[in-house]
Amino acid sequence: MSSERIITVRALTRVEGEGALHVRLDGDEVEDVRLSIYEAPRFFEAFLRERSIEDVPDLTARICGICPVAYQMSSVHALEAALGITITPTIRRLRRLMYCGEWIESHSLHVFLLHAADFFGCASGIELARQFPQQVNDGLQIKQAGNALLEVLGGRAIHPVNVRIGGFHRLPAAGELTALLPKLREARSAAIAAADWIAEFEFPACEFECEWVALTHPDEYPMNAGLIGSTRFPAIEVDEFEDHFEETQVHHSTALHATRRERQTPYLLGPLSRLNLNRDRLRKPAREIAQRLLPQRVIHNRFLSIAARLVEIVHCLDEAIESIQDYRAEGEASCRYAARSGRGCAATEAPRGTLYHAYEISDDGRVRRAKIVPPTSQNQRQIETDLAHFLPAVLDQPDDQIALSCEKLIRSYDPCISCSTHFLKLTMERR
Amino acid sequence: MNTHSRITAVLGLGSPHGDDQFGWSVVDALTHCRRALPSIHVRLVKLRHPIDVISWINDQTQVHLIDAAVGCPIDQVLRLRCKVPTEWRTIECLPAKGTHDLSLGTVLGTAESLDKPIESVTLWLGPAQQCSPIQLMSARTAEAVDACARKLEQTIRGAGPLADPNSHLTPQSVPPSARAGAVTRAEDFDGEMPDSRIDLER
Repeated sequence: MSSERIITVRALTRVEGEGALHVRLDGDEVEDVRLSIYEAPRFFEAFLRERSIEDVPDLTARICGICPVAYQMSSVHALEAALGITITPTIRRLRRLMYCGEWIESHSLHVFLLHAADFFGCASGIELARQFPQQVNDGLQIKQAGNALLEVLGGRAIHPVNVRIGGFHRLPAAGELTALLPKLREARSAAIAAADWIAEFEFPACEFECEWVALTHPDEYPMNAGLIGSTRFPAIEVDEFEDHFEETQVHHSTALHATRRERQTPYLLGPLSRLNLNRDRLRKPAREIAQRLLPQRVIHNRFLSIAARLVEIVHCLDEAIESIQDYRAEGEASCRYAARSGRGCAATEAPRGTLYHAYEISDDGRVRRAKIVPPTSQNQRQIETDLAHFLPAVLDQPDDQIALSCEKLIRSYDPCISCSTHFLKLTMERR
Repeated sequence: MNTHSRITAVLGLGSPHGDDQFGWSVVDALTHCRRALPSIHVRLVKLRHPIDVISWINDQTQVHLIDAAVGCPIDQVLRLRCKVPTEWRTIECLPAKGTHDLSLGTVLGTAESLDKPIESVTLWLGPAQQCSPIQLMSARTAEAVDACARKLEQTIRGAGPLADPNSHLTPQSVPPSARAGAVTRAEDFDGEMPDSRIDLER
């Protein structure tokens, strides 16, 4: 005889966006896990059509309040590929510096105010701040350093406006950047010190093998250039992305799911993917922290993502300091170009993983077609798969504890649901 | 503490979506009348995420924080002072669409846990009826922008009610259920708050 049991979490907190998780159980068997994103589609790809390509970086920055730089970077790199533009080394380095700002800002918020609370049974950052005021203050200080970088390079911290096709509207004065050095150095010290704190965390067992996908680059920790690497398959050029990965519509979500095209298998993006594929390209202080906090093999424990984010914060702060020390405001702020028809694509590493953009443009410099594949929608299928593997180990717990455990696992991916199409509700059916 | 050395930060919280533009629009309006404001000690800042308010809460800064409020009476702007705990604690979190669900209430609570001087924060809440993506503000919210900017300008210049040290809100005058999130909610208000409400001119 079947008996049905329903567990509902009305609000999964500390994730970006709105959605719901439905779990159906038959006894101890997990029958179905569905991560439903019910945020209305925002049709960005449609309303980019026929817009001037010059509008694209500022429009795509509006897709996400958390990672606008990623959207700007993927869009300008894709459009530059379509137009045959090669940016100068100065512009390339400044773009990496801007990306450092976004990773620092986004990761520090997640590590110190959103995710760490889960390891101490704190319901919110308010409780965590009472228990660990020093660490939370350090996290806020690190975040401020990231914000400051974005303000100088992007013109403002929210929805930066300084990025354009071919470079920037304006190069920052050297003094504007060097003024940030004390703040960045303090933030680096705070981030390195935080490794002692995270080393004491107790990480739940959550070792599920999967395919990890991220950009890889022979000379640098990847941000906005490289091949698309995988822990299971050979690396591919970015312009082969649509040959190997596809998006499909599913009934229960307004965000598209992404899988490997041939095998229909899920994959996972994000900081753990980047580390799994690029650990040897970390800068020394970050590599040392990775060595201390993370296993020396492919990392599969999803909860270790908090340590991976800290490693990336240290890497970015180190790179930012060096880039600013080396910076000379020389050369043109942007490369000149003439509009022409063409097609171009690019993938860059948003804080949550690989973000793919492709554009077709017309002779008069208008967008004919736009395709945007955000990281959270790519991760959705693997998150569902992980939950199905994770649930049997917690099924003996009371329903509210099961729901809490699922929330914690989902938070470890730092999902940005608003990017993928926006709060999660969990419904569990037991038969 | 020498209050003359303090700066005043006017922080507009918002997004490009419908009435959630209220906070940003008040900052824009004040920017346009900047010459009327004390030039050195006033910072006008737009913020997207409530968490970024926290770095402004310190002993050197008087913070005026402006946000849209679902449930705020449509013909009024509400003013709540954080130095009166019963006021800001009545702000309740809505399911937020903001930075990873860190609502304004959570941010103020975190600031308090960190012993930051949240008594230096004054909340100015304007009415929000719709926050649809990339939509214009409602006509009533746009009117509230003007009213809020005018009152804030007077306040900053020392002519407004905040300049009066005897002017404060009594706990009884606080809306019983003002709720704040990424988009603040302030509903069920039926109390008399002569100092805390700015009626819009008709």
